[in-house]
Amino acid sequence: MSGEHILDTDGHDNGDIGGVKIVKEDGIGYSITVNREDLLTAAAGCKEAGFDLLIFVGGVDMPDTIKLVYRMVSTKKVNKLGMIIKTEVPKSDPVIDSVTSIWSSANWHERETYDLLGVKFKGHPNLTRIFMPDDWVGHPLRKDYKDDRMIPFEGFTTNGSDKNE
Amino acid sequence: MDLIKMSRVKEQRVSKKTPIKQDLDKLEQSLELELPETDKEIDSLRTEELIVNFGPQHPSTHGVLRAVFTLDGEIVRKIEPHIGYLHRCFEKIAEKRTYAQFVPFTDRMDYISAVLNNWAYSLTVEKLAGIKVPERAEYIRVIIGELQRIAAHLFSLGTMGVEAGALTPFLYFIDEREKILWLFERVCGARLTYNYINIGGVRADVPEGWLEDALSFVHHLKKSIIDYDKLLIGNYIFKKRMVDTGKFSAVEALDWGLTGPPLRSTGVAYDVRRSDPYSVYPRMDFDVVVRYNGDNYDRVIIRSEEIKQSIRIVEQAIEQIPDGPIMAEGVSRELVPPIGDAYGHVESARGDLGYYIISDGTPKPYRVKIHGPSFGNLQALPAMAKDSYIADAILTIGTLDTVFGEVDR
Amino acid sequence: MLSSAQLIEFANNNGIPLWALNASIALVMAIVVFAICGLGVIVFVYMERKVSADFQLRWGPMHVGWHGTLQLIADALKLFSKEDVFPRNADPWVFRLAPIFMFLPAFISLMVMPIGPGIVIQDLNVGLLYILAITSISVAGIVMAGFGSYNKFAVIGSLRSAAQMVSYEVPRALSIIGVVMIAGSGKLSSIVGAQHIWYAILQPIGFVVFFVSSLAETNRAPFDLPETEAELVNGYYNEYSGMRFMFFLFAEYIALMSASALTVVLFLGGWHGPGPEFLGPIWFLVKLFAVIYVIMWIRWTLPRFRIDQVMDLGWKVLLPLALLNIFITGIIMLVI
Repeated sequence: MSGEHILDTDGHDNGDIGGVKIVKEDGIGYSITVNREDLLTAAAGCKEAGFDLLIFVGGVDMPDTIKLVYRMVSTKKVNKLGMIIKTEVPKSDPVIDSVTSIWSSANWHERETYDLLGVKFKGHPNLTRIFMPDDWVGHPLRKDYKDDRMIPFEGFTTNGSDKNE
Repeated sequence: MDLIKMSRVKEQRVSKKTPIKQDLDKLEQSLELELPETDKEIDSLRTEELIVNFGPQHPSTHGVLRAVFTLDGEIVRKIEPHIGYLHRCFEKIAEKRTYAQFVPFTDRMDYISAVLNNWAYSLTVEKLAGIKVPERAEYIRVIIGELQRIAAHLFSLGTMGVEAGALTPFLYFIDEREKILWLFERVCGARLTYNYINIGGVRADVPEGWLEDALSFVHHLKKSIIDYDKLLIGNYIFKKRMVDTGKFSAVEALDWGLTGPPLRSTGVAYDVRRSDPYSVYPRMDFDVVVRYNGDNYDRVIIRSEEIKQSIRIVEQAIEQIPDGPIMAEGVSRELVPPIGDAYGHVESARGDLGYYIISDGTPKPYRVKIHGPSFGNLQALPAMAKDSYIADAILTIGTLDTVFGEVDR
Repeated sequence: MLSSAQLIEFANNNGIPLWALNASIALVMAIVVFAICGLGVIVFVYMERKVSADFQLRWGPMHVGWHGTLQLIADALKLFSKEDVFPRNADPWVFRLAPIFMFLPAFISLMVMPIGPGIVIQDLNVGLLYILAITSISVAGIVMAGFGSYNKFAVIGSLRSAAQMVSYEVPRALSIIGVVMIAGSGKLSSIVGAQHIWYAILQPIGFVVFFVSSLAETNRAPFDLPETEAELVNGYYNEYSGMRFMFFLFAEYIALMSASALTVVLFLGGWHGPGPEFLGPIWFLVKLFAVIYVIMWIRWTLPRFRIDQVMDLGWKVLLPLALLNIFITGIIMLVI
């Protein structure tokens, strides 16, 4: 069963992409979770299935891994749906294949993820920092990111008073 | 000086030594011999490319875009955008704030259409926490959101005129936008960063008589937008400048991840309000404006047409709006959504604006990933403006309508 | 006017050599014209600001003086007292001379402008040729400014300007030939004198070509490519500030004035108008302001062309039209 299926039946029978089951999650819509080795096949499969517009690539700093999220939508079918590919890379070896060969638009999104989270994308044409200066040390969106100029700030409590006071 | 002296001495010596006739013969011979050589020289003359740095302080970079143009005469061979001058890492800031406290930050993302950012964020948090927004609040959101879209498109059309050299239409568009800002000011007291749409509804109900005023404004705009179309979009020079410049096909647009008006100008009818309907849009009767040429002119036309569609939506929403509460019950400042993740997106004035939020069961979000449509649209610029004139590349930056608060976040 | 009989007699009686007399008269004239130019520029800038404000739903300057009339003087004082920023890598001589080269041609082209019957500083027999020759020098000023200020935007702007001015020089000169054919003279005062019906009516094509190419020559919208603020950030005078910047502004408006004056002289009947002859200068001024208003109207309404479109318009549309105009004029003159 191919990914075409979900587009036609509006999700009652979800089908699969490249052998990975498509699940429907509340708040997200359709998603598939793949291993990092299978990312390229899954992405290509999604594009094959009609999800032709890559919206964003994002990363999340989990305790041991970095979770990567690829969001894409289909513009061709009448009931236009979205799909999220989720995958994870270990923090010790944050390397994954770049999807720039499938969508050119992944270029900046992957640079952003590299810049802020330190995930290295194999096969990316120009993997440099995009927001931070080129000589910046560290990746700011990591939970353990520390910086000399950073003011220790624990955030506001929910009742509005500053915890640091 | 020495060189000049030496050459003079040489001239004299030559003229003394050889008779004039011989000299002329030699000259002719040498000319005949050298002809192919000079041809080669002429061919190899145009080699040097000029690298010009546009921005980050430049009047038409819509904020702080720095683009390095490689010019061959008047033609742009390569554009390298450099971004990040407005980077504030809101995604990091969000992790230190509670859900409700982050709403004002979303205003600073796309500051030309701030309410739509509020909306996208609130929508996602509501999805995450399972909050049902009351009907009246949804209608107010639609009215405010569409007015905001009109304001953003008016601003975009105005700046487009400025970039094409027509300074006057800008003021007309800004004048209309000003009227929208007055309406907003009456609703929430702010003119640019509203913080109006909050998690669970809207912050305050619209004042007495506001809906009638909004309706009379859109009726007025409906008439005057026709004049403005004639003034700017119908202008012969403007058309001549815009048509067939910065062209993109649908395949390229999808490959480069365009959303919003730039994508719809290539013939792809992708509008979040229709393809993934949120709020009360399914009840609204409006058209997704699509053009097929994919050039700068189509991108401008689409904005103008979308203003007309937004006017239709505002009219319908004002007609249908029910009475009732404007805030969902039980939404407190200490909102603690269950563990999980949610993705919510709206059609902002520039495209598909999405928020991906992960909750770890604490009052603060674990991760907020923001996708600003300007970011996705801007990265198509090098491909779009390649081999065009400088003036057209500037127009292409304009028609992509990027806002740098959103690109850099 | 320079050597009127009484003055020469006066000089002879008092032992003043003739060259001294001529020089002093020329000096006085220059100062007078300069003062007129200064006043004119203030009036035109004020007018431009008010006209544009009127078009753009604004008030324009309102606070200094009655309806902001003294605003321009305040601005001029501000520009005078500003620091003169000199770019480190700029060529000192070229950079300094460029504003003067811009300013002078427009300024001295006013010398042959007849503003009333007999009211002209130097009525040259080749006045028309003189103006054509002089005004095209200002391109040198633009190119100097562009290359002298060591700025890439300025270089691009000045190159654009050079290309544009050279290509519009041709249709502009050709469009005038029709006028010369009818009037039978290159002397501006005789052209006006022969002009009992406006040449704009007799020479409609020539008038349009001349007007459009005058716009291009003076770098006014929609041909203000050399100074596009959206692309080149004011182009060739990008690096200038304070006094020098003011000189460019000055030059721009004097060029506008001289181009409009030439339009009035050649096509709109000069000083001719109803009423007695001494009203001539007033009619001239009225027409001058009307032309300037139209030019401002165009500027504040239209977007600008792209460089290749400007070139196309010059060479492919205006030049053939100008030639056609000469041809038609010639045939009609033969028949009549």
